[in-house]
Amino acid sequence: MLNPFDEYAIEAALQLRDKLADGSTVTIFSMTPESGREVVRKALAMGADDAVILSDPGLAGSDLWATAYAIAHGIKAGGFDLVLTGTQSTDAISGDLPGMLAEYLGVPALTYARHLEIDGGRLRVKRETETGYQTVSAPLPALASVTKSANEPRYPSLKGIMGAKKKDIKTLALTDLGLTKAVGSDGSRTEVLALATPPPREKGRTVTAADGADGARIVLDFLKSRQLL
Amino acid sequence: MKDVIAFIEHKNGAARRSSIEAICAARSAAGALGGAVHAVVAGAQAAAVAESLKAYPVDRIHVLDDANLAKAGVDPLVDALEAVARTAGPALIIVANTMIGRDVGSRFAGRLDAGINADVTGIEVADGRVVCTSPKLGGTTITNCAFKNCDYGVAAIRPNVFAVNATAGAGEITTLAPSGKSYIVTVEDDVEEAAAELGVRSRSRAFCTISPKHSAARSALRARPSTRAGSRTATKSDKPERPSVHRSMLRLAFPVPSNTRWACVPLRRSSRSTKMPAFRSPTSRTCSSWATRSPSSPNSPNSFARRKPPTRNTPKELLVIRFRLSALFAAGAIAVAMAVGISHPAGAAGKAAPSPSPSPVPSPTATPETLDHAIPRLEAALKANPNDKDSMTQLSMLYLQANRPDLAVQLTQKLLAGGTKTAQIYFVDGASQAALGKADAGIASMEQAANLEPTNIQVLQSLTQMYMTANRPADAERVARRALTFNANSTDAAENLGFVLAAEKKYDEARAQFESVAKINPKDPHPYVLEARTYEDANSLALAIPLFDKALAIDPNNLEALAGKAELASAQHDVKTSIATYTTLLGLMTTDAQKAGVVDQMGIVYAREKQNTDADAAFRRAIASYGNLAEAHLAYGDYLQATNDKAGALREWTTAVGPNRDNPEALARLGQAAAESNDFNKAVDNYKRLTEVDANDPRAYMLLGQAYLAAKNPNPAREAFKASFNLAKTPDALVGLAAADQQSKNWPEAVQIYEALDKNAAPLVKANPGILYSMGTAYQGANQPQKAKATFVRFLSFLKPGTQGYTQVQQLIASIDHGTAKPDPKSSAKPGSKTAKPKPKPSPSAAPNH
Repeated sequence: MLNPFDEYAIEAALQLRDKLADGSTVTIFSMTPESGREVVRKALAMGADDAVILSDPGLAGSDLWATAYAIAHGIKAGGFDLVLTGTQSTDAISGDLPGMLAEYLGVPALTYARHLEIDGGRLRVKRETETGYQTVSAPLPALASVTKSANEPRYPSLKGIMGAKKKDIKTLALTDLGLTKAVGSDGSRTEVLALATPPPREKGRTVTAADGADGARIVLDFLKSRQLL
Repeated sequence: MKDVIAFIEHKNGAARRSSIEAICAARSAAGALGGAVHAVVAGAQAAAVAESLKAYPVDRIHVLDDANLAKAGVDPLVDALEAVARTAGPALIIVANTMIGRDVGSRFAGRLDAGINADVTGIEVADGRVVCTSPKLGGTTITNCAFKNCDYGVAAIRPNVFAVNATAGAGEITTLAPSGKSYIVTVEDDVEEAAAELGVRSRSRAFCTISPKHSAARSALRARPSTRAGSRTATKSDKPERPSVHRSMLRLAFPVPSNTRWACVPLRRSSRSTKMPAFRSPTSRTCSSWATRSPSSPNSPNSFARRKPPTRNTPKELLVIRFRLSALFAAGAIAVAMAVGISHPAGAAGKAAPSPSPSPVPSPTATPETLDHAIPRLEAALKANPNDKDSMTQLSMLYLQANRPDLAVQLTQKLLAGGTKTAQIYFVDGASQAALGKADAGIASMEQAANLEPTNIQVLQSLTQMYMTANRPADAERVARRALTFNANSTDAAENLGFVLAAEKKYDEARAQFESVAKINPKDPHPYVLEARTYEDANSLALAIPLFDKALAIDPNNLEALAGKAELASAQHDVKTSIATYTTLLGLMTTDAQKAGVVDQMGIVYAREKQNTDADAAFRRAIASYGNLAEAHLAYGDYLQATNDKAGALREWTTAVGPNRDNPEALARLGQAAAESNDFNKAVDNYKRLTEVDANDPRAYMLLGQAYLAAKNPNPAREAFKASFNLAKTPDALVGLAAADQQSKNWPEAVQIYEALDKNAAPLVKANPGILYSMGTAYQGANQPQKAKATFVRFLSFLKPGTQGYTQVQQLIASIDHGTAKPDPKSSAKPGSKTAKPKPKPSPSAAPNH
């Protein structure tokens, strides 16, 4: 399944390409097992020009660091002016990949972009902050992560779907990247020691009008105990 | 991993709670690891934050206090964290799992090959290894993750999970050295609005954002086919020209279009700055009405309160500033009458009039004390006790009312830096900054005031007005709507919104607002006047007249309606009605200045119909009958200038400038006239005097600098631009500075400035691509041919292929390739001259080709 957060990045890339209309192309890059090829094809059907998947058994078990490190080298191999990512994955929801990726690519990271424009060799984004927004710009090449308020991802058209079937998806293996550090579960910087299911939710307490003035105290104490006040 | 480093996010001098939690989480981890706890604080007011962190269990606080860091986004923060981590050795880094924390943590991890655990809800140390607990897969799985293969690990902790433990640690403060890097990310705008969902524009403004000036003569003469300014700026194309720097430098100063010359001066002197909104007092929920209790201004025997309900200023001034671009009030006189002198109908005034509601706030200004008395008294109090915040607050407001925003802002800045961050201080600060021409700083402060008192109508109206002045209509509309939402029955709020809508040309919506006001106050002629103006603005003059008549039916002496009707009649070439209406208006005017203004207005009516004898007579009558006013001479001079009587215009302006040569309007005109006749030394002389009269006006220094440049006198030009830059920090002043360097062949500095402009003022460079040309020649001068070439290539992309300028730049580039280019650009092409009509398009280097 295509990570829904990534669809915004794809849509943003397509819009930028169409607006520039200067021969720029959009390449989909995905680090995925072979089974992800069809997912990438959906992205192609949205209108991307070509795609690369980084697929290698040696990548299995990669943590965030190893993933970012490998993807960065894969992207570098193909060359780029602008890298767009989603803001997070649906599973780990860390939102840390874009920043790490930017470091390994050696480009500025403009995260949480909800509006992007390219103007005079500069990427300018409106990025969300917790209290409002910032307008931030940096020269290309650059990386931006795109939030879901940036756009409304398009549905692949029939023509796009048919066209995507013919498009070439290039495959990269680890040996193509010339990495100097190990990746996969051995090379990762973190290891999972234990997995657990969270304890079942405790029964909640209901404060009713019958509690009278005590009710307010109970609510207050509860909020305080959760550090919400 | 031994030491633990907490990265601190902070704002307005206070650490975020989640960052305090990071310190406390760091403390328990460091205890188990046997290491120290570090905190890293970087950015504006970092030193104050560091002090506050001493209350928490941290051993070493690393501080980089630099207000400019924020301009480069998170990059400098990552650098600060990296510097501390590299000194500390293998360490656990704890950031909050917030937008900034994630950005900093992930960038750090990428930079130091560190492992990262996100959304951490627990940190333990087992067998010397740090183990983080985090929920994954939407909270359905809990993982325990340890770091391996790495010297550094990053844990991004979920806010509100780790307990805060307010036990002081060693709290030793160390100062971090700045990274010394130049950052390529630029934060152009940072908007603090929880509900910010509207467009932002760029921070850098075009040079001299000149709002239209309502000098009657000029607006009247706009209709004439060829005015002097028109002939200077007209190009074959209808599109605005993108001039080369040589032209743009001059264009900035001299052939400013006639209707925009030297604006804002009367505005800054108007009563706008004297209105004070009511703020919620810190001790009580009731409103203390500052405005209505203000002492009277020294200029006026009336008390401020009696003079005019303060909130009325905003709509009316908005009207004068933006909405009625075609406003036709005579220079100064009428405009002031409109802004200050109009008494308001009972309906509205009754509501806004001073209410004697008891206010618990002890306010010394409550006594009818004049500014003359109150200011020295408070200054003395402050001298006795320099940290007396109450006195400082009071005094800052009085300074603002006494038209000394420069003094007011010193106090407000001190108060804000000292942590007194009330809506009131922010309001005074915002109004003062705006009055000093620092629009962005003003807006920022006013936004803070609005954040603190989100329903205060006067704050919101001031903010609306500032947004309008800064050409941010969308923001203005949002704030005006908010004001109305929270003050649903306020006619002021409705009118205010109407203004904004009208300025946005949403006339139907604007009329709906004005009509709703008319419904609430059926005896108020004002809304009809405003509605009439919406039609006038939309050029439906026929629909406007009945509304003016309606207003006059309610109040036959309504000045605005009379002025509007007279103007409208004139626009429809009905000289008779127009003059008759102005005559009525004349009878209602009380001061000579006002009367002179009205008579000048009559002169304009005649001038428009080319009845030059009558026009001339009217202007002369204004001068002769009403006390030889500078305004009257100015208006007559403008008229003469427009009828091509240059000598006469000079004579009138010279009279207007006064024996002490201290009338800024006249000085600006004389300077411009001198510059236009290529007498740059005389221009310098006038502008120099202007900077003496208006020592705090950055535009005066800009003009002076440009005149010096034109007089080929780069060194004093440099000083003037520097002064302008120090006052307003506009990139345009830097352009001037660079041009002065260029003229004095100080190439290295010119290159430096151009590079800075290119990096930090991209919109300006884009709007004036000629800067790139100058930058190229500066590179040539500095013997950097490759950079020069690259810059010329960029410049080329703004030019239209096939034009003379295009070819010349191409030749220039070719000559660099052959090593034959001369460093002196004078002999080379002058691209951007009339033949070159550059079109904005992305430069080739801008286009991603992947």
